[in-house]
Amino acid sequence: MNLEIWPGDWGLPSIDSNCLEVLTYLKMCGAEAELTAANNPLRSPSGHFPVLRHEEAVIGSLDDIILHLKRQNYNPDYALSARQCADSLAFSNLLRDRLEPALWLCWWVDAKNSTELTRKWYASHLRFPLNFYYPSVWEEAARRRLAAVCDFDATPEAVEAYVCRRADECFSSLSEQLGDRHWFLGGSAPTSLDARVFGLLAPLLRAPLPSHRLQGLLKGYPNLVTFVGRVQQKFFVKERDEYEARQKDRRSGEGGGSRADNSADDAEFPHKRRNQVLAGLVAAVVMLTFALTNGIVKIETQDQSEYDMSEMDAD
Amino acid sequence: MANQCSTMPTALTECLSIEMAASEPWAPDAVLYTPYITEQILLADSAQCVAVQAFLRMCNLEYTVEQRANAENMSPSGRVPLLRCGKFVISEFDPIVAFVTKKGVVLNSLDSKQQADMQAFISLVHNILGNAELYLSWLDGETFETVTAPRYGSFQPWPLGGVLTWLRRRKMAARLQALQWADKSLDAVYAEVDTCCRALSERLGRETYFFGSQPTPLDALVYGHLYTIITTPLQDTRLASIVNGYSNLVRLTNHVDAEYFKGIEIIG
Repeated sequence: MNLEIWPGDWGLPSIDSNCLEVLTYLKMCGAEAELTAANNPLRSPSGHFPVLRHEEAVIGSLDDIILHLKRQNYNPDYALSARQCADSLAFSNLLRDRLEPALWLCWWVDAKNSTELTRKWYASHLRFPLNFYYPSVWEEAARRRLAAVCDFDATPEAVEAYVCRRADECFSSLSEQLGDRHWFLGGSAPTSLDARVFGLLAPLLRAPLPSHRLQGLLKGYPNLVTFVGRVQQKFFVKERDEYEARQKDRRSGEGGGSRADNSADDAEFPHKRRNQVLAGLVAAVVMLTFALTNGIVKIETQDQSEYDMSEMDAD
Repeated sequence: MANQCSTMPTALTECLSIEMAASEPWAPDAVLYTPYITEQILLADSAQCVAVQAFLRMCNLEYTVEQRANAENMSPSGRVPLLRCGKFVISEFDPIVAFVTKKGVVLNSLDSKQQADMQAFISLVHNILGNAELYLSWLDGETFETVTAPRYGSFQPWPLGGVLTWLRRRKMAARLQALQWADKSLDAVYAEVDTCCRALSERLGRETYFFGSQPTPLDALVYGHLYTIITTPLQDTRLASIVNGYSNLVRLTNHVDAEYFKGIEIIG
């Protein structure tokens, strides 16, 4: 099985909610899949990731991927009662109804987050020249989706207040449902609902969002924050530790101040002085040649001596 | 401040209205505005109107129903039903329930975990049954031509009725596209409805209501949708037959009908 997903950042194996959900699902079932970092939406049948390639099948939508995995007997929900399955479906729909519009707003429609984080991140991970095209397309799509769902006549501030209020209600319900337990449907093992909640909450919690109103609302529910940490600890501890080690190195490097900057500079450009001198010489020679050939600068030594001779003859 | 709010229709002021509702008692002259039932109303709107009426009856609150051709335009959010209570104007099921709850009218005291459960199942019904009804009314060619198009623009002169119907269809298609329902096939929609009904049936079990022996807003909402689906005659009867296949849901519908709408013709 080959899974093509958006690459990870901020201690997570992927920054995209759907990709993260499928990855968590695979880990829960103990399924092995080869992971490929995505950089070209044209390779996906739906234009989005994750994309699962297994034997002859190429599956581009999240629901179809989960269905395919269930057919391969990778199903963490097998031990759930019918009542728990009903609860799982209900809470999935709660997330879709109340949380997803807030996420569209937070990631794409909020101007600060969109320009400083989301668009920049995708532009740096998409291949040339798609990095100039797709971020705008996705931003426009998120805007249209939010406008379609909040289609009452309102200012952007009112829409933001409305979606944030509904997201807060969603967090509150999730927090109540989780309570003190480890997993949302009780029991000793996580289920697909836990994968879905993790997929939606983890990027929101871990990303360095410039405009962090929604993130702040989530942080107000400590058991949800602990839940995200618990899933990371159980399944993605390697990515989290690598990211934390990198952050620590960067912070200690910054502590060295300008010295660290200089040494980094020297490492990147070993023959800086030589290159500067050579560049200066080449530029000077080229400019002089241009000036001489176009007659801007004339060398008149011979003419001067002929003039002196003719002056002496005249005398 | 309240007067200013009632003339400024936005979702933000709806929220403010709900907050201020606590200070005033229920107005006995409260009016519920709906589109014309027999000639105009559509599947999804009918479900919402019946659900709100069931909820108000469960709370034992007095109200009258007024049918208006432009109820949708009167509403601050563009959706029906529309409740006018004293100085406040609230539309749609969830805000009306919040408004009534703020006034201290509690149907069934649930603990916070049960509240969370109820909210999740309400989202399930809105997302699946609500969207399926919109899909059938606006995106299914057969139902659109036989039911929706003749009804929606029926109170406007030609060609305005046709133009308004066309505009509304585009808007609904955009909304269903945003919610990823537009690309589903009709069979997929019916499968989703079946899954939803199965989940609701599981949750209800053998109880009278979803949370014991007292009704909750979830019971009112489920009643509204199921009553509409069972009693609305469509060309394709698959939707009604799916619902009728779950005997405990039909039992709930009949029970609420007998208990709260005894002998009264339901407006919806």
